[in-house]
Amino acid sequence: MTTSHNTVVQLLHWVMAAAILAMLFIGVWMTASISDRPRLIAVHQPLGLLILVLGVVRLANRLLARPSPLPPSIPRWQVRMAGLSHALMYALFLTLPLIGWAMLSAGGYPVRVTQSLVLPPIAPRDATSYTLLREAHRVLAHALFALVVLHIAAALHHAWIRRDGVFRRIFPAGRAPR
Amino acid sequence: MVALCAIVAVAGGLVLAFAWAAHWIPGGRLTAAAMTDAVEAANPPGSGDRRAHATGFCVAGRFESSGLAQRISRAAVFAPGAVTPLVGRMSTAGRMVRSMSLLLRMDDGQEWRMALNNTPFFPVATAETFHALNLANRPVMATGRPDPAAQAEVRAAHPELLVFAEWAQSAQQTSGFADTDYHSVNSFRAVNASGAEAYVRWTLQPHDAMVGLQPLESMSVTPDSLADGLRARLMNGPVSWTMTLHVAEGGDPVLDPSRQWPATRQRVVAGQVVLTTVTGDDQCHAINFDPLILPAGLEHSGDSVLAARSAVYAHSFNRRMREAAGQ
Repeated sequence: MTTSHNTVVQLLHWVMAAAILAMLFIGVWMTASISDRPRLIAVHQPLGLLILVLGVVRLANRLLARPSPLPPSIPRWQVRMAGLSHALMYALFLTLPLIGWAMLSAGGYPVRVTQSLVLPPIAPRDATSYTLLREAHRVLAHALFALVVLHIAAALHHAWIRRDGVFRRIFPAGRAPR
Repeated sequence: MVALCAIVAVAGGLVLAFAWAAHWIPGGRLTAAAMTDAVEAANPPGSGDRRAHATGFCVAGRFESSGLAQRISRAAVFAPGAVTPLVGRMSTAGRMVRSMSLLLRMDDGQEWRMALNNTPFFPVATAETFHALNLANRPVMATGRPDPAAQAEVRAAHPELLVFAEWAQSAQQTSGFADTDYHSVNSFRAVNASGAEAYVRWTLQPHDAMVGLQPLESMSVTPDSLADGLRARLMNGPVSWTMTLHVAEGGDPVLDPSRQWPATRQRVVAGQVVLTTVTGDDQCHAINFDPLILPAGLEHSGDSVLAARSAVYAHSFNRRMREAAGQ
């Protein structure tokens, strides 16, 4: 019987899952759309900052309180894959907002997170930096989306095919959907 | 087996939804990239150039608040006695349009960027129509010029173009940048300290007396002559404009930039825009004068042409920065 994740992990997971999925959809939509763009950009920046802050909290929590091990029924290579995919996701949760912040700084744009709060620039204004950061933000955001889809597919694989109790761990006791 | 299908369905559904959000799946929706492509096609830009208003030069100055606009908008630039430094860019588009773009920078990092034209209203009412206009103005392979039939079709479908054409015919061409009116064209939502909202447009009225040009004189006006004219004028002291907010009333066409509001609408003198120097190209070339970069107290109104300007400027900026990076 594998023990559940602690409550902080569960809460952070679901809050961040919602925020990150929303963010990915908002990001691609606001780049393509015309009439929806202003409202979506106004959400994109504060939400990005929130994900960065929660990501730092989550990383700290992960380093301080190691999660319980996966059940022994799972092959070693799958355990390593899980570890790798989670590490990549953590890396993207933290770097994507920072790249966005740096990109705006390099483009000379004010980084606006509330009506009147503007964050300081974290990169010098430069056409080359702006272009590289812009491209990196786009590519990594798409990579994160792919990872999220794989993550969800793997989770459902545990839930519906393996039925090994792993899926239940991210839900509070008795709350896992069948 | 069922479980596997369900997993594939969930993953596939997510990917499809993402593709839809990204506008990769066509659905008749106009994208910012497509609009920017059409702007480029109608007027092919040089590498690293702005996709519109490519010819221009940089200026610097300040905005001096009168304090009177504070009851309309809580933007810090409108506070009594506030003086806000600005950088700007004077530019032209074709023979008719002269523009002043400004970036007002507040101490706390907030900015107000505006892109103003000497035309008080826009030729078209919506972003879609503007796109159709650009498509019709594309040079055709066979002739190297736009297809007259396509242009006629757009004019027939959009009578507001005639209104603009009539105005353009009768409007007096001014002698330079300094004696010209500049307009926000699009409306914005102003919010004051109590949360009360109003729709506003604004106009910059020159202190310099307008010198009208005779038709023959106007033929010899070039971007260079206009630039030289402002430089020469600035040798004699700063050039100033009065910024007046026009406040809409219920029922006014606030979302339609092709229609002006009645002249009887309330006007509030917000302050003076003062230009003091012409500066080097590096001072404003890499600035995107996105009219939706606004301080607290001013917001997007929902005008679709305003949203389109912001979107196309952003894509234009990305493309020209990429070109500049490649050099």
